[in-house]
Amino acid sequence: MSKIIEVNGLSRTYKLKEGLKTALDNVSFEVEKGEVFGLLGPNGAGKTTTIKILTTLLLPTSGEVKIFGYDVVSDSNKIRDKINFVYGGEKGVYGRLTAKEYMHYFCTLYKIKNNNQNDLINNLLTLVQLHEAENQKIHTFSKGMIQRLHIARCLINNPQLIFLDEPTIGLDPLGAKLLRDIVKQLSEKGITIILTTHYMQEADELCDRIAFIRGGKITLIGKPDYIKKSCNNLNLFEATLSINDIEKLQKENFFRNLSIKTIKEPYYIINFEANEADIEFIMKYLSNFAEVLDIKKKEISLEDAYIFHMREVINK
Amino acid sequence: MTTINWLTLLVREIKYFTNFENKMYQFLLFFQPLMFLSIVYFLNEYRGDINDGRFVIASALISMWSYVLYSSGSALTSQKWSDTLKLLLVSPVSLSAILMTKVISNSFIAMFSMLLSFIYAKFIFNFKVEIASYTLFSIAILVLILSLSVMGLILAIVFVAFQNVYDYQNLILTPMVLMCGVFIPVEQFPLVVKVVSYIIPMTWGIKSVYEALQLSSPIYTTMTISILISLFYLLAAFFIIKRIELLLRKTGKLGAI
Amino acid sequence: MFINKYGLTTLSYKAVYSYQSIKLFILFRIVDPFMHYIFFATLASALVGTSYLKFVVLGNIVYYTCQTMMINFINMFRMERRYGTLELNIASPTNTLYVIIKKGIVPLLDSLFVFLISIILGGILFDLNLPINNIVNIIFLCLVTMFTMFCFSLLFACISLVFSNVNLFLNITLAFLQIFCGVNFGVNKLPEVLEFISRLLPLTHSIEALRTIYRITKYEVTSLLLKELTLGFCYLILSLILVISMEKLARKNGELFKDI
Repeated sequence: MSKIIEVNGLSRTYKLKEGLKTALDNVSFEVEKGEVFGLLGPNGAGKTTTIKILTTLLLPTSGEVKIFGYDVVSDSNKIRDKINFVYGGEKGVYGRLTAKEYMHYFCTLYKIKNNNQNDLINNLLTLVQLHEAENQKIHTFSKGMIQRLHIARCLINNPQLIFLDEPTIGLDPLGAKLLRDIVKQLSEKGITIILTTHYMQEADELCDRIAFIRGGKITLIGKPDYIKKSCNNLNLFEATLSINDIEKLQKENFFRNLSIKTIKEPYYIINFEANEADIEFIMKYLSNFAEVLDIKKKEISLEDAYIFHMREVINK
Repeated sequence: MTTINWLTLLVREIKYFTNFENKMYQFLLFFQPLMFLSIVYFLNEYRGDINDGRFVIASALISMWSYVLYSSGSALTSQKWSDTLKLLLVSPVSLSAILMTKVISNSFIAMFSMLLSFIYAKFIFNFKVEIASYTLFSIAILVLILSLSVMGLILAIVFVAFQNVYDYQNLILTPMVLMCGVFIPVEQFPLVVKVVSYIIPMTWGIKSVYEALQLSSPIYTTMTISILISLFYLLAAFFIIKRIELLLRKTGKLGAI
Repeated sequence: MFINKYGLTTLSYKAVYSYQSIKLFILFRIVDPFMHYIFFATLASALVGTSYLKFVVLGNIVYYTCQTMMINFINMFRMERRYGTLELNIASPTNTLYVIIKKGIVPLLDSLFVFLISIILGGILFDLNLPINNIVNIIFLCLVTMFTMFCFSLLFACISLVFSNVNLFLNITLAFLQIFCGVNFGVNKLPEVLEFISRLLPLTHSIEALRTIYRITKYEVTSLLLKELTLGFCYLILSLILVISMEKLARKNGELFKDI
């Protein structure tokens, strides 16, 4: 497999009134051809800056970034021919145009010959399942339809690398599912995809590899399974209890990040984190407070891993 | 509602909702008088005996009217845009009282450009503005403010009742200036235009100010007519707003809102 | 280019232009200029007398044409920003200045229409009879004036991309043009320094040429129009330099033009 993106010691600072702000601090990573690569992190972590630099819209302060072997600083035009991007939300469309007209507009901007435009537009709108709405004005579209139209737009120049910046933000579950299916389809065609999202389940489902970014630094990178395993020292438990004095349990420091769900008094389901991994020990400890009806160690989801990993930032 | 309560509302309105950040208003209040005064100044070079005072006031009037048109005109529709109309409707204060505070506050703010015009005229262009009686002139200004407020009230209602009219608000900007005798006295208009002009409250307010400037004899009559006409429209507006309120509660919508 | 219903110009018109219905077009392209001329004619007559009326109306015809072009040109970009499409346009492989010019064709045609309507309105309302024997000069003036206004608007549109709110800047510029381009009074009335500035602005020479064609003033039409044409080219080159340097700066500073 060949490397599509090579980032080496990338840093970026912004000049603000209050002084220099470091948005990216010595970031390095690589993305292989055909991968779906997830960039996850809280707001302000540096995701957008990374994407802006990779799409050549922003210059790095220092470090080296190569896309398809071309340098983002000196060969931006060669790179732009082979990439495209979609950002989430309802912006970026002309509401008064129909989907077809919108596509024609961008076909012309992307220098597609007039004779070829109709076929291309047909194919792309079919791919994103908008061909039936092609003569409908965009202002009548749902959020999901707008996002799919964006995907169709970004495929106009037949890019080998696309950037999707929170594409499913604000979509209803069905719309989001449809969009994920399209992303999978594109990935099967061998298109490399860089994805940012706040939905961990989505990242888990779509991404071949994931990078956690925090305070301008990549703190963890790897396949979703690897990331989950990296949290092996994280012990999450779920227990069903019969308990009379729930408040006493709440005051106990042993159970960290305790969440309690009442089934019907005195029955509760509790979720918590513990330093101790041994389930027997936990059960014993719990029985000091309540009758333990059921207890199991939870499998760590990407979301658990994310929260575990980012907690320091959230606490700050 | 007590008068005190209403006055507090007026002061709040001026304090909180006067939006000098709005670039359109900045232009209308600060820059437009400067532009018109420059034109007057250089055109004066062709003749040299222009009645300075009248044209300084004319420059101010154009800005004042533009400001009232854009600010008071959208007093109700803008509440709809920012989705605060519901809150106003459910408050114990009547809609007409709220609207009155808005249009009166806008007319007072519009006075700002009158003041600025005088300052520009004196310090930049060296125009001679002679005001014979400051007391009388001040009273005339108050009469003008009343007529401008009433104009604002009418506009707010018209823009809300007929949604399409709002798109054309630019089109009534200049005709109003001409019709109300800002440049050419209404007496010189053809009969039909004269009749229309005389039923516009602003015409009388403007006439009062011009007459106060020169101490023309019919000043007291003009001011009385101006006040009476304004009060008539005010009363009419009061009833129409009551009806609007009722319709809004009944059907939940009306024209632009 | 204009027939292509999927061309950049046609689609830009549909997507972001303010006037989409015949009713709006008639009101704002015939009634509004009509009001504008009456307004300034009245102002001038009240101040100086009716003898001066034609002089003022001719100046305002050129001014109003320019105002139409600038306001509507800038409005297109305001809409692009509101829709968040400006960035997508700029990121495309098509040259940014080319995209801006293509979009500008709409307000260009619009203001050309306004100019022609205004010439007719002038004839009907203010007895400004079109000197038919001078038709070559009229056409030449029309072409040159449109070109220079277009280049000036282009420069202004480029500058406007940097501002978060361009409204005040636009209004002040228009007021500035109205005072310094000899719209309502000859620029020779201005102090010397200001007259020099007025000679660098668009409109000034066109207005003088138009008045000469209508035999109200006596200047050399051809040389005035050549000066105007030269100014147009200067504005065009300036816009070109500006766009290139702005794109470079945007990549460096990380801000690809201001959002609303």
